[in-house]
Amino acid sequence: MATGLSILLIDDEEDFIRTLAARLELRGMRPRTAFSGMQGLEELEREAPDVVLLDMRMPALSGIDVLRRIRAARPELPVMIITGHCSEQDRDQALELGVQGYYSKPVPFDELLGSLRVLQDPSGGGLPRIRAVG
Amino acid sequence: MHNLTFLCRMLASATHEMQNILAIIKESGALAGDVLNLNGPPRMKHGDKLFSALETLEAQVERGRTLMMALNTCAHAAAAEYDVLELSVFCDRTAVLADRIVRLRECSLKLVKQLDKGRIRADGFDFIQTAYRAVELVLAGCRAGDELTLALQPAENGQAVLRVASKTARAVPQSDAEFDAMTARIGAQARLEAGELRLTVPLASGE
Repeated sequence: MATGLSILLIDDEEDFIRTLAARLELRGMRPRTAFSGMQGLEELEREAPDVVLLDMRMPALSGIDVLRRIRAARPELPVMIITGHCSEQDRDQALELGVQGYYSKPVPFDELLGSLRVLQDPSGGGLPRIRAVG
Repeated sequence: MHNLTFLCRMLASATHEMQNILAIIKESGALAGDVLNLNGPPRMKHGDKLFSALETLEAQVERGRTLMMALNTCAHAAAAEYDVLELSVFCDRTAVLADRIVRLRECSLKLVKQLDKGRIRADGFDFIQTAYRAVELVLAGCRAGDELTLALQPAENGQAVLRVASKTARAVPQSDAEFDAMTARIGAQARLEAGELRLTVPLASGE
């Protein structure tokens, strides 16, 4: 059973987060996926993850809306933004709300892994190594 | 202008969607590489060709991503979303957009930034058009094999210089009324010399 970082990925691009989740799982992490902002908040309520990876542009509830609700309910929960739209305004808004990372799609995977690794083990120790799970 | 506004809205939306598509392609290719690597280097026949193909896939996705980012900035700029510009970012975007016309002339373009932070008050679309046109004007005097530099440099009195220079061309770029109007719109002073063109712009106060 994987014991790595528990990660909630929220993005309406289903193929993208399924693939990203599979790559994280191969590195011993425990990803869960939600395909809308509302579904993400429900997943968050059901079981709190160690970190949230959140898209900015989603129908109905936007990433910023989700981020505001997360901050209101769980101010300490680390959130990283993954977005296909990288306007300065969006980025500034997200940074003001205290996100731990901001990545443009396509995601620089090693950088993302490095940030997740720091969350998992702040004393350092390199990138999570790829391994088979399941 | 109405048509242009619509076109730019569509372009902004489509480039955003393209970033999502490229992200899926990249992660799918990378996942295939991950799985192949699970048990060390694959021993399958022609495995090297498969890895080479995955590397090509990743490189081309990165190429597409850079171009989409430049087009996305251009589209948002044309929708008049910027009035204060980070010069470094807009020079990046201009270099990406101009790269193809330079390569079609069998020349190369190098971006050199000696000014990390510096903003100007100007319309973003006007700036990209002006900088792009500056590259075209210098390129007109270049021969195949020439190297162009697009340099962003600090200047005296709170100004910055955008310099487009050829390594070998010695002809003075020929300006025209359209370019003169462009430079006026972004508040730039143009100086044309042998094989190069300089645009001096005042930095926004407090920047």
